[in-house]
Amino acid sequence: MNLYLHQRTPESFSFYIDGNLQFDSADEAIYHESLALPVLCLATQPKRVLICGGGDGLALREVLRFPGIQEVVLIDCSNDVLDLGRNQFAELNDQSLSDSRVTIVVADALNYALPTAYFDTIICDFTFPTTLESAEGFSVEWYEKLAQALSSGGKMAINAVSPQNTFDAFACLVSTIRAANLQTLPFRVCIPSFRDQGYGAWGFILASKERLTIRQLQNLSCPISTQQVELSALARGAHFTAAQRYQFHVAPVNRAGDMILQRLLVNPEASNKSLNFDTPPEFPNLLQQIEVSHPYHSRSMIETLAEHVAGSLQSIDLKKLVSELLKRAQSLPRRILDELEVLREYLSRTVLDLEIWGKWATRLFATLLIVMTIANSISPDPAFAKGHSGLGHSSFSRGFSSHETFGGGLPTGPRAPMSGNGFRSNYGTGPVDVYGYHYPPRIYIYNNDWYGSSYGYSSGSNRGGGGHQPHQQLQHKPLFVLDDDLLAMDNGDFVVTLSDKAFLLVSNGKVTLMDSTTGAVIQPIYAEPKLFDQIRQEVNNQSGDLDTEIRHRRDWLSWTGWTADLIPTVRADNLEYLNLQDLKRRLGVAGKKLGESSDHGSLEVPNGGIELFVGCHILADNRVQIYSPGGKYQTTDGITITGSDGKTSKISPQFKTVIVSVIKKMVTETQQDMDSDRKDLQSLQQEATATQMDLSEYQNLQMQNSYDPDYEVDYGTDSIPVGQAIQKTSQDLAEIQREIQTLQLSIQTSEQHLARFQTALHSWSE
Amino acid sequence: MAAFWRPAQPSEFIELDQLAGKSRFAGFMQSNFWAEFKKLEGFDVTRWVWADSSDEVRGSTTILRFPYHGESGFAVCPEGPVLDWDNESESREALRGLIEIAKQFPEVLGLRVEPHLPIPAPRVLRNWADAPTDLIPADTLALDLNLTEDELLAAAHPKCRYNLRIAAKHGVTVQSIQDQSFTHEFYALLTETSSRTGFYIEPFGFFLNLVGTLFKHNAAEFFVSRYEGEVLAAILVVYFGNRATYLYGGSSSRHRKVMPVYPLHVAAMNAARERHCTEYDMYGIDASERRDHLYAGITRFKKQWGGRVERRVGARDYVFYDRLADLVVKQIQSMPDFQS
Repeated sequence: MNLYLHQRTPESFSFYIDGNLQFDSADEAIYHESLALPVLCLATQPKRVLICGGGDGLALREVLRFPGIQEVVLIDCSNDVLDLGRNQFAELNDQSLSDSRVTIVVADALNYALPTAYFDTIICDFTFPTTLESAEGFSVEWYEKLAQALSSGGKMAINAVSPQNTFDAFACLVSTIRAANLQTLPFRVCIPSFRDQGYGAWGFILASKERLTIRQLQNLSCPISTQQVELSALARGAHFTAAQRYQFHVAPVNRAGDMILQRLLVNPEASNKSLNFDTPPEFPNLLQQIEVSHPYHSRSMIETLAEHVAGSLQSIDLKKLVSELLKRAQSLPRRILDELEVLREYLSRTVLDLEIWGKWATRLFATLLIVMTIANSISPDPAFAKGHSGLGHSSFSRGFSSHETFGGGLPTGPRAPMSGNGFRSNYGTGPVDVYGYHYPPRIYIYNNDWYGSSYGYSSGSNRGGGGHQPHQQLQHKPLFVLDDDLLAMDNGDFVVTLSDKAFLLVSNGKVTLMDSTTGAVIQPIYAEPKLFDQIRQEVNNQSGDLDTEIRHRRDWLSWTGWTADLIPTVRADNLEYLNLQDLKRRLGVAGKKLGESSDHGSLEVPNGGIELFVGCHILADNRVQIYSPGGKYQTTDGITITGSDGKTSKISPQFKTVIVSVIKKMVTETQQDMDSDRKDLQSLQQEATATQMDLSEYQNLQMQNSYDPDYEVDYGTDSIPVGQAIQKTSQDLAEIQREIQTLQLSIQTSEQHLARFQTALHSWSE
Repeated sequence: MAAFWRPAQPSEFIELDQLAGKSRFAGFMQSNFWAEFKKLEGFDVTRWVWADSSDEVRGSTTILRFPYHGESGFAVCPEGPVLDWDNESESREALRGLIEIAKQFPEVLGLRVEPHLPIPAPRVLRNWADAPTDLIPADTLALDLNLTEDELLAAAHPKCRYNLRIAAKHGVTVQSIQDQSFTHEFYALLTETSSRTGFYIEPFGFFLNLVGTLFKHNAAEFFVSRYEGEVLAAILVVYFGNRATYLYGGSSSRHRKVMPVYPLHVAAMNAARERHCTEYDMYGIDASERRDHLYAGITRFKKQWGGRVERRVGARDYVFYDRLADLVVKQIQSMPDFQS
């Protein structure tokens, strides 16, 4: 047991066992008053009390304050916790452990012989069940034992789990207590320090041989004052929906040695979706089948891990696996056997491409993916392996937080990606992303009036993006960061940054090239439909993420919102919820304002051309071609600009500056990509050389042994016939060489592009 | 002389730490303190010795399993096993022995190893599959602590030296802390950093257990930078053998212009030198320096320090195909959609 006391000041501290928060001195009274006082009030003149766990002495403190208490037995297995209770926690627990009415027993309560029908009140304050053994303290056998120790009219209070995060596990506990022939009254409270740890709204369960009602909780008459809890308000936490109440009746019962509680605790959102295999399965549905195995993990982490597993399946020995599976043919359904036969035949000829496998052997692929992901996720480490993140880098493909904040996840669950405070009190002071990360404020200067009207771009002298200076340039702030290069502005426009000097303004079906230094319009651009589709998709995806965050906050507030008057944290949570809704609404407005592209049909990149940005290409002769709305284009060599009507004029300096800045960026990025490819190529070539050497050695050995088919060689840590070793090594070498070829092609293309960009830059910079 | 595996005795743990600490093929995850930490995290940890018949120790390994209710997982030798990997035949025999040990665990689907081996992978791992994730970064950057601070900085990128001067000019101070209570502030920095980068981070309780164990063994320190009294950045550095490893780091988004992160590493390297470390492991880069890689930002930062890029083979799995087949069959039988 790892006990840790975090002392902030002499009076203010928090206490952890094995990394799990037990209490925080700032709000522990919410927990202990909620646990101890209702049950004492409901019991008939309680005199004898049993406390199981609670060696910190805090539940005991509440018990001892209650009038009429004559005897308390406290059973805790940890001398270390009791020592803390007697010393560091003594002031907080009012020296409860030293009270003469208290008998302390250092023992495992589960194995301690309890007197029959003796205690008027029993309080069960065990720590959160993290292991199979500790889950026995939440089993029907245990509750039966406690029920026998209850006197007639006696009442029990049990520290449960979070009904918000792990409702099924909470329902399991209610069901388990009922299976011990006890009546139950579950309720929950908001404990701010628990919320901060991601534990969610916390649950307690009152139990008795007689019926318990919410009205009883509402009408609690408590002879002592409370520090933090308004006892009569607790009844508001006892309301559950009809569906939830139904669950209390039908949830499985946790028996000693059973895994059911643990499974429910780590799989709060297990999916029961069926897989449809008439067509290749959709990956998301497939991933939903994979259970979360470890308390540290979340669904999004498992799905990320599954993607890595899918990629690594290529390197396992499929022939061997297929062979082993065929040995078990009798246990397999016909359709799987058919898939295996197809695979065996295919593998006898070539190496299996993962994509092909996914189409030909969908069931097998799905099963293998599920099995390997579970095997890899049993331990907590792989999900946190260095470099693991929400589906990659930057926001375009970032994973989103699911239920991890606001009590989502388990007591030791990971922090969600949305852990920033950008939606709280400083919402609106700078752009924020879907993770709540608050970015430094930025300003974009441009005139609002260029949209929704003709561009008024008429005269020849303005051709080529004349750098219009609008009458009034307004400052616009980005509201939401969709991607490193894509911003949703406060007025509903979208900005796509191109370089440090240029951006595209996208709004009302139009695209405009803007000078970011002056805010001037350079040139209206062909409104490429694909750009609109991409932006719309990104907005929809991240709106979906916001919906998830909103849903979780709504869920959280449904559990705890009634405490907002009492608890500032919950008030701030409410504000965040409202701000998220505001952003969602504004994104919706922006999405509508985006409109449909005013141009139709995607532009083709001209022969020999390279795209600089949407609607703008470098041609084979290094001139830049830029498409206007309607599909007309202009071509420029950096000095003059020629329209599709053949008329020529001088290019404006602003236009030139903007194009040069974009080309410079392309030069830098292409160079970087090429350098990266070359580094990878070097590694692959090393691997190819080593593999070729091995192949040659195997071939020599084969020859030296007169092509004896039974002659075995070391192949890694296996010993196999030399012929097989040659075949496998040849396949490996072929695969490496294919990768080398692909990479070389990529480098070649980059070299060509780079040469073009550099030439263009040179001529444009003159 | 042939060698074989046997369970390590507790009395041997110090010797095994020394062996692993000296090996260029192993890291701190093969240490005694790491074994203790993993036990706290619920892992089953066993330690093994590779010795010859005269009981001369020629290798060792820690094996971790996470026996979660009998569900299948992998037996893992994190940053190990500790072997003479230059000796192909001996390492082959040792691996074969480890495979047999792993087979003794009925729930284990395979054996995973992750030694510090440079690419390309040695022949002895030819029939081992790429693991889906690497527990430690496959690519990293190592700085030579045999160089003095001045020599190291002279070899660093000018931007690195410039940023250090900026930090100094703004009066950024660095303190080393070996107090578990700082974990709270450290975790707040990690959380903020994770929000910016998208990396997953372990739960707070994990760090409490980690820091508590490492500090108990004097195997790690926090380095904390402050500006005008405000904590802006912190790193956790682990010491094992001749290597210091920058394991975790976090920074605030406030006052980034004072470059609070840079002086942390100088302080950490100096502290590592005092502990007789000869290498400072920056713990993770993208050796290909892809601009859209998850590590792009941290690679740019780390490469400013100079140093030597290490590209390693990463984690490899030896899969027990018979057990995998059994599991696949069991999974298929549990899926009603598959029964037709």
